[in-house]
Amino acid sequence: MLIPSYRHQVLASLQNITDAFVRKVALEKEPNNPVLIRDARGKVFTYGSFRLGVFGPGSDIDALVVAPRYVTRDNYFEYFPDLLREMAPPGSIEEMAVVTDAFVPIIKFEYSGISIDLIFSRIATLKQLPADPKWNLKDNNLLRGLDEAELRSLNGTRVTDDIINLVPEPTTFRLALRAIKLWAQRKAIYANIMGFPGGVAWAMLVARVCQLYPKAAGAVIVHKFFHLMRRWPWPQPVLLKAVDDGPLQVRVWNPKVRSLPHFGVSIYSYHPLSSTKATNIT
Amino acid sequence: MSLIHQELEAGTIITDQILFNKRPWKDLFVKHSFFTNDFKYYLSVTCSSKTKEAHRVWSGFVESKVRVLVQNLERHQSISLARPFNKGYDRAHSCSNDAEVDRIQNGSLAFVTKETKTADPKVKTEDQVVQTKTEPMDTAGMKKEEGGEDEKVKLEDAEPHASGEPLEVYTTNHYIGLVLAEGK
Repeated sequence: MLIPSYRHQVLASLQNITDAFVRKVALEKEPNNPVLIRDARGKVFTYGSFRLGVFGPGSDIDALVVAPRYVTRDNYFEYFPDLLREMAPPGSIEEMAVVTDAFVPIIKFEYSGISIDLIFSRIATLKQLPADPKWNLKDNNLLRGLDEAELRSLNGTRVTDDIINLVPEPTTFRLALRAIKLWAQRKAIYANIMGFPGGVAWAMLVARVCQLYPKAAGAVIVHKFFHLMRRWPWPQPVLLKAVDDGPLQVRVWNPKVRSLPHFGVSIYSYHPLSSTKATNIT
Repeated sequence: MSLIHQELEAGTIITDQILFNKRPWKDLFVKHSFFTNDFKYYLSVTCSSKTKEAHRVWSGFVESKVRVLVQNLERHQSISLARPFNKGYDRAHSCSNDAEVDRIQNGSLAFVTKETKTADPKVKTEDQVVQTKTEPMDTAGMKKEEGGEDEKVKLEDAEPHASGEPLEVYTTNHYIGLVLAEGK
């Protein structure tokens, strides 16, 4: 069984590789700009169950590589796989699959036995990423000038961060969510790809219950979850916050779940590799 | 009422009793009975490849289309409910000739060397062997599995593979539970 700190080591290694990758592209695109090359850096964010803190021993890590505007998705797919093999300990990278034409383009691999889904987006408004370790993707202006695939890639981290920031007691939320996840898995109603709610959808539903009962213990949240969701007036969406009008004419960026899918009447459009799309249903 | 709503209803009743101390928490987490009790008929979709790499791509594609198949099955006049199992079963097989490859592609589990459930390593120790019953149905192009009866390996009937090397075959199975419409 893997301990969490081991995952953090893997993430630290991915952060190093990401910085090297951005520097390499900076060198290629602006060879006469030493300041840009010196300060070139990227940032690795996580999303999904790892970010929510509800991962188990066999869970994968969903991660996002963010780079400045001069780094393109083509650069990512051209350089990143090779850098990964060069910079990770020999033999630690296995089963790599590069999927450039997916709904969310992705590099999948196993790093020392942990399976990792790594997606990419640049930030079109920034030529350098801030060095501040607390820098995040909350600001809607960071979405300006991006294509659909890049927006979808950023969405996973933004939604997961939103969920964790919008619950009153993250510890209680995690405990209740673990119980609901276990329940949904045991009942075989957990899996995006088959049209069932996936990890993010279940997380949002539990988060809403936590908001409505901010002082309740985990066990009570689980109990209230069933009562509330059983009687939820679908298709009224489950909203975690009021809809905010961003500066962009893009999809609704507010995390919500609009209906529990029946078969044949599903809001969950197909998405091959990650569960994040369940959240930006329009 | 949708399947998920049924589960939510059941969960409500159980958690009500749990909070009154009348039942233990483990009752909430009792495993589904998809393979053991829920259906009389099952459909099994098998996709197979000769290399691991090819199978990763091919099985991913097939997995993504299962939902479409289920939706279309539900429109069939003889089927009142089609429910996919939420995970596929990955199996590795080792055999020695093309006839055996055929049998694997038709659902034989006689050559299995390794079996895992996709996307959920946490529970892969559960239900290792799945038995399915299917009834011949008019769904062209579907591979069907005649489960329940153990297929015996008869190596002496089979021509050895030319190179003598064992043939590796990778398969992923998706199971769909079916409830047929009432007969007229």
